[in-house]
Amino acid sequence: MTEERLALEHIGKSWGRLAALSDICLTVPRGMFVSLLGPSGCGKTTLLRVITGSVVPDGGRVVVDGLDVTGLPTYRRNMGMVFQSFALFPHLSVADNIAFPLTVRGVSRAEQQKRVADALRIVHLDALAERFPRELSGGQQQRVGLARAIVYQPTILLLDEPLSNLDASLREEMRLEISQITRQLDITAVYVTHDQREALALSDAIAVMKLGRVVQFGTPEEIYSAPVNDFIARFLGYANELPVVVADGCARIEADNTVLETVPIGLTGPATAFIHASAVVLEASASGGPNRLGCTVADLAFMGDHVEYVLRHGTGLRLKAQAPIGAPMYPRGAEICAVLAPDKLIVVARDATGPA
Amino acid sequence: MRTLPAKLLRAALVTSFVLFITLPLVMILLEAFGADWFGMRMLPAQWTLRWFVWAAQTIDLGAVAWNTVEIALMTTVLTLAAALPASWAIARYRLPLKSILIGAILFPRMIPEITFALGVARIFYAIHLTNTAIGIALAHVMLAAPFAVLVLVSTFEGLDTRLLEAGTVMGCGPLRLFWRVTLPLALPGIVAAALFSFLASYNDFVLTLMVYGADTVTLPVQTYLSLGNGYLSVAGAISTILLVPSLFFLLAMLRMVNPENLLGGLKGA
Repeated sequence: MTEERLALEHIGKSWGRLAALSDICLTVPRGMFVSLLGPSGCGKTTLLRVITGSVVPDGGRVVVDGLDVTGLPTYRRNMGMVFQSFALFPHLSVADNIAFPLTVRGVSRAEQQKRVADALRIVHLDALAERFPRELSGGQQQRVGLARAIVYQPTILLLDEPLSNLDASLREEMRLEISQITRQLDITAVYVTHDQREALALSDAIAVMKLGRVVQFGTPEEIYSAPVNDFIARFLGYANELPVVVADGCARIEADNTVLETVPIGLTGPATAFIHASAVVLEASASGGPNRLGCTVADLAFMGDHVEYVLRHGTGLRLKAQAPIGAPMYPRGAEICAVLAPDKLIVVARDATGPA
Repeated sequence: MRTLPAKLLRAALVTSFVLFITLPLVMILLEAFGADWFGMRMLPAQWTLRWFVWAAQTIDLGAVAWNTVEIALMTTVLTLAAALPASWAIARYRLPLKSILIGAILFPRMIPEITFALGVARIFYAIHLTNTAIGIALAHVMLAAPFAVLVLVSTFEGLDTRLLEAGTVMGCGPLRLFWRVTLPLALPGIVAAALFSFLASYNDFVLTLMVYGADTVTLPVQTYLSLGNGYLSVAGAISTILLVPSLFFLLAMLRMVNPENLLGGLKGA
């Protein structure tokens, strides 16, 4: 048996002249949780549907457990899928929805009952087996969707933005649930999302996509600490970006030549430096030097566990900073110095492919 | 808060509208069950079943009723057989000249029924289809199909393709998907189309009148014949019998499916 559960080899797909997917190569080892992360229109859902077989790629191969399934119809691929819209059958009860894929597979009635009960227990819905989907909340419906997708032990579990239709409060709970269940059952999963926090929190590996290409593939830590370009850094939610020029391994802010000490840089020429708001420290002294930017407090907001500042630099740059409670507070208009923590400051190449 | 006059006005409007629609029905019932009812009386002086007895004695009511039901059932089956695939194609595929196609299907309902009936009668005389149940049913299909197609197209267009995709991913081949997912999801619309078809045939008079014969008298035609013979109350009694399935289906339909779904096709998606 191969270690690789799923391999996508040079997948291409165009809708007319529009390239939806270009030369996608991706492998997913057994038991791994991989996210396809990207803004809408990046091709992540199309890629998911290439895996299920509902979209036939123009070129390339889909290989599952070493077998080429590119020509295999969807219903013979033994995939499990959780849908953004839940996609529960309205004419079937919760138990019958979950039993549906088992019925299709000719599983005996006794065995069906046992496995449906197991699946219901896993998603904590034992009490609702006889209800109909319309009688359930969104969160409960998605649990049914999850139970239905895992009850027949599919080769790969595909999740298409399963949390997008849920309330913010439910989303985190459901995310933890998905994480626990997939690990507990050692399921190989491919998860499509545009939410970087979901992808970071859930995944063993993330493929960041843009315009039909995988821009970066790596562990959440790798992608977060070393995004390959400014598109990804921005997408991951870095609050501050500074246009810089790199020469001899040293970055200077484009506008005023302030030297930035950063994590090691592997490129030269125009680039962008990114830093999180929480890594920007405020000091009262206005002395200059590397990583020190004299700023005016443009706005501040008390957020309960921290204070958020919007700072304006003389060159027109805007910075966001987060100060912990207990740090000195600065009023609007105050002249302060923003110190950028060198070990949290990353410099990345500018993405040449244009807006997503 | 609505003001009292506004409430009263609304109640009056609703009441008069309901009366406007139901009053003819009430009159028929009074006619069928009443006796000694002419001149200036508001209500009949006595209540009686005599007109029903009379109708049963002078007319072979059983045969007439069976003709009507048989033709309506044939119409329903034929209409569904034609309308199901046609509606599926219209709803789910990109067809050239789609609007012309729909126009052609609606055509028999857009022109005066008597005009249409004359044309049908011409053809039926030529090919000896008059006075046959199947012939009348075929003619009725023309009347039933437009409604059926409107309801079914709207049903099929409204099918959630994500549910079909879910079924496929879970292992349903095309045939199984149809039986296990598509059909159950579309069933309310299909039942509605069947009921409409049945009633379109069951209630039809003009078209039937042009192609019926001695062996294929239907309840609406018999009502008209009794009226022509001068037996107003007998016609009322037959009309009352005629009403029963219509009211029954109406109630069944309102219980089974949300009436707004039925109107989906008429609202134009």
